[in-house]
Amino acid sequence: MILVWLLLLPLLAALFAPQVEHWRADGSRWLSLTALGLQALLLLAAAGGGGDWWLESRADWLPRLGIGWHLGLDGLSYLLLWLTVALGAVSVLISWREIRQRVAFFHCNLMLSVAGIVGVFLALDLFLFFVFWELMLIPMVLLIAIWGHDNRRYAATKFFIFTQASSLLMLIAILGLAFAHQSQTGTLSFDRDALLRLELAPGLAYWLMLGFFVAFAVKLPMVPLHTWLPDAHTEAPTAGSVLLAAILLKTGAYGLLRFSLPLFPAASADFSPVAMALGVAGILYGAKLAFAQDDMKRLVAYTSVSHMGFVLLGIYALNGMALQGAVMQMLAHGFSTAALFIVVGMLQERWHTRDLRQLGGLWTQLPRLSGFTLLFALASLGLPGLANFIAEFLILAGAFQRSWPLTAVAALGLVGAALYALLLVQRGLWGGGAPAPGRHDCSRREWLVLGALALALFWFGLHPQPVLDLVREPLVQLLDAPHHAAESPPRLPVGSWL
Amino acid sequence: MIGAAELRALLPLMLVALTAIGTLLLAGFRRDARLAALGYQGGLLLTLLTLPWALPEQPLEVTPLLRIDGFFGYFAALFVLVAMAVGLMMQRQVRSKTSGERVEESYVLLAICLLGALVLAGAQHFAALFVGLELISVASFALVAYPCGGRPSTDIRQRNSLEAGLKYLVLSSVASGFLLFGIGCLYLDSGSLAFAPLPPSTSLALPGLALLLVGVAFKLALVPFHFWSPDIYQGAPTPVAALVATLSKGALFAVMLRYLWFGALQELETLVPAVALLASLSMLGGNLLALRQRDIKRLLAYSSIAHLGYLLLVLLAIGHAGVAIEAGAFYVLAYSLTTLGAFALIGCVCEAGDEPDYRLEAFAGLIWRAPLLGASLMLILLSLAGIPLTVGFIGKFYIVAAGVDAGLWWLLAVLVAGSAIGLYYYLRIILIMLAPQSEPSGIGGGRWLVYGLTLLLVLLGVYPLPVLQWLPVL
Repeated sequence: MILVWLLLLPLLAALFAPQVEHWRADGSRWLSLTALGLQALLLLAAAGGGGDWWLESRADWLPRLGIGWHLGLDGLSYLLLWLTVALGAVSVLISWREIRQRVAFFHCNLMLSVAGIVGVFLALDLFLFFVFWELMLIPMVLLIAIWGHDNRRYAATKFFIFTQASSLLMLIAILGLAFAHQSQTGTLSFDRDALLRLELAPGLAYWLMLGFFVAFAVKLPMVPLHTWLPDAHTEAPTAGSVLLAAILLKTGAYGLLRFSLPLFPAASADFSPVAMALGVAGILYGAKLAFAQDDMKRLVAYTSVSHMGFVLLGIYALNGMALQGAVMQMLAHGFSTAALFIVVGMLQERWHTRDLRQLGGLWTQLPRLSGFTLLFALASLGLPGLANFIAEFLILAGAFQRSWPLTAVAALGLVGAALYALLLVQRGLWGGGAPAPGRHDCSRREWLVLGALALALFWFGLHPQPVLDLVREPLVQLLDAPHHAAESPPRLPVGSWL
Repeated sequence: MIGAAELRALLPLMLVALTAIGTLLLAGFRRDARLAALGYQGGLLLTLLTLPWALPEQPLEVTPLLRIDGFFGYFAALFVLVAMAVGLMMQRQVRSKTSGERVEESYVLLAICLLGALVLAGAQHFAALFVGLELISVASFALVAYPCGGRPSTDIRQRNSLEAGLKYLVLSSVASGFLLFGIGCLYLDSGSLAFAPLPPSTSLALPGLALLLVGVAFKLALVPFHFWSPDIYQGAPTPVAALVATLSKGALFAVMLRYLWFGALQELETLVPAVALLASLSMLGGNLLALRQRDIKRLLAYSSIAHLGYLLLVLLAIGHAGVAIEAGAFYVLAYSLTTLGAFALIGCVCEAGDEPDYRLEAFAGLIWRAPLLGASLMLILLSLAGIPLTVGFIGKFYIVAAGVDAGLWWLLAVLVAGSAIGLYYYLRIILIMLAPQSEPSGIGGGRWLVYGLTLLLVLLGVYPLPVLQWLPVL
């Protein structure tokens, strides 16, 4: 029941947002915060279950087609749900002043998107998963298309077409799996548990795996399917960028971990060198393009490409250490990139430009905000003591066992990260030529949001063990799935961290 | 012989025929648009309510022409509902125009169209196919040219629909000619007009099937036989365009489904490349041509070409995939429901002023002017695009399922490409609708029909089980 309520709360908040606004001007903001707060309480109540799934919820939906309502919560989804709730609240808080038009409709879309994302992190029936997967997109497209910046229509359309077309490929792959199940057992099924027991022919498995992979890789995003991301991020309102970067991109990685790897272990193992190479390409390419940007928001967007390249590398290294690193990177990237987008949004609100050529010398004018910018930029480049360092270290250490040449090239990405992060700091914060004096520094609300994000980055950077413990069980299962061992012996021993 | 059981099975057809005659007599005695509408809707409602009772337990052959079974029941119910919705749209159209023209006969024509569709739903014989098809076509000629919104021949607004009517007459007759020629060849080949497997092939089977295919492609407006369709959609009164888009195409598709199911599967094998080509061209061509349209009705015409292309996948999957018939039947429902919603909304938004405005810009700022209508438009477009929680998604899901089961990978790839293109123009309308309001313009009547259709579209998208139970299966 807790799982159903986790889904229902944001839906209810979305439904009642327009009504509440009639009573109170900023009622919809408080309503969204309340819903997210209640979700957090529910998550607290759900913590620490045992067994494969801490909580499960099952019901019939369309039994004729083998489609059921099946939700499940384990450590991995628990972690990502916390990320969703936290960053959802951050999105509401930072849009407090930025969004002034059609506030209720904005929160309606925000909460619908959150509901879709929560559903994605919980669904264990592939049909249901697909429904949520699409459901989270439409409100996001509207967020970009209505409240975005100048070129918003183009960005929204591109985002929509990229993600929808790729998810149709996934739909075909899902149906392929369901019919494979039918030919083996006589009934259609979309349930993950049932599909895990399938014995697929290698050729078929490879193609179906590619169908899933493309959908997840577009969302991740992986080079060369990333081109929607800079546009969408740049044109979206700050809250939209935060939601996109911090949570939506994680659904791609989550999909790989939850469905692609366990459903097609052998095919994934065969494919992993390609995926790792693409991940490394993403790391370097994203870093290089970030380095070349003048628009701060675009710069941050390209750092996402680079960071998510690490996630892809970590996932397809297929050993415990790298997988833990990948999950850690999802978390760290969620906090650090969201924080950078927020900082950029605040600067834009004050100076009405994001162009690094026109900015400079902010430190003298806005010391507090600049301090935060410096901190988050350092987090982004992977400074030890902050969460990103742990993540990248684990990924590189894990990937090294798998392929040292690729890892060596990937490590160059850290140099690139240092370049773009320091360049951002140097061009934006130092030097002269600040536009106009007399702007107010952080307000209390902004200080609260940025402080909380900084605290999170420090916390996970200095004490990552709880997170690693949380996801250990799901990741071990993912690697040790019985048929995994049967079809292809694990190429490398599970990392010593496990 | 026709006994009591057969008469009972024929009850739906007889009731619809009676509705046509009754409405005609009503109009003859008393000129009252509301009364005619009432008679029409009443007769159809009665048909719908008695349909479960009339359907026999076991499939029943009524004469060699018709076969009354679950397949007939499903499509008959669907077509009656479609005809009722079109009738409601027609009624609104009349109420909003006060020019005083006579509209009672339109209900007679609508009922005749429906009768043709019901004959097609039950046809198991080429004679029934041709009779049903011509019933629909002949009534449609008059309906397309029907004087809605202007006085005949003097009013400039009338010219478009007259032109459309004439075009439809000529092209539809040509298509019927092809169809007849094809049927003739097949008859010469097998000596029978019943839907049954052909005898081991002789020289005339292939040309016969090919000519049949051309005729059907004309009537379904598949690329490259699609040129008439946008002009008809644009010129015809909106309710009639909805009728042509849903009832005519749906009924013809249903009869093709039955023909392939009952007989011509092996024969189709030789035509598979041709059908696959038609399907791919329609999926890509329809969507590509829709991209640059500025007129919502023309855009819908091209989008409907693409949707019929998706449907052709089902024809190719029959015999290889168990879900094919189900998939086709459900997709016709999803497509009809969504298209009706779209046309009802056009009638409501675009025809509010004195001069109808079918430009896409007519929707600018709709969601801020009329939030519920805007939301309806969004859901209708998402359903056309096949996004979850709408009936269009379940339909597309079924089509893809049939394609996957039958292993039609290349066509599925084309479907993905076509859908991706389609997303662009559906989203374009949504973005126009979300734009800040330009100028305030009115909203016409008939919004309750839009709300009703949209609600149904979402309900069936979330929980299609009630309909799934009735789907005909192999």
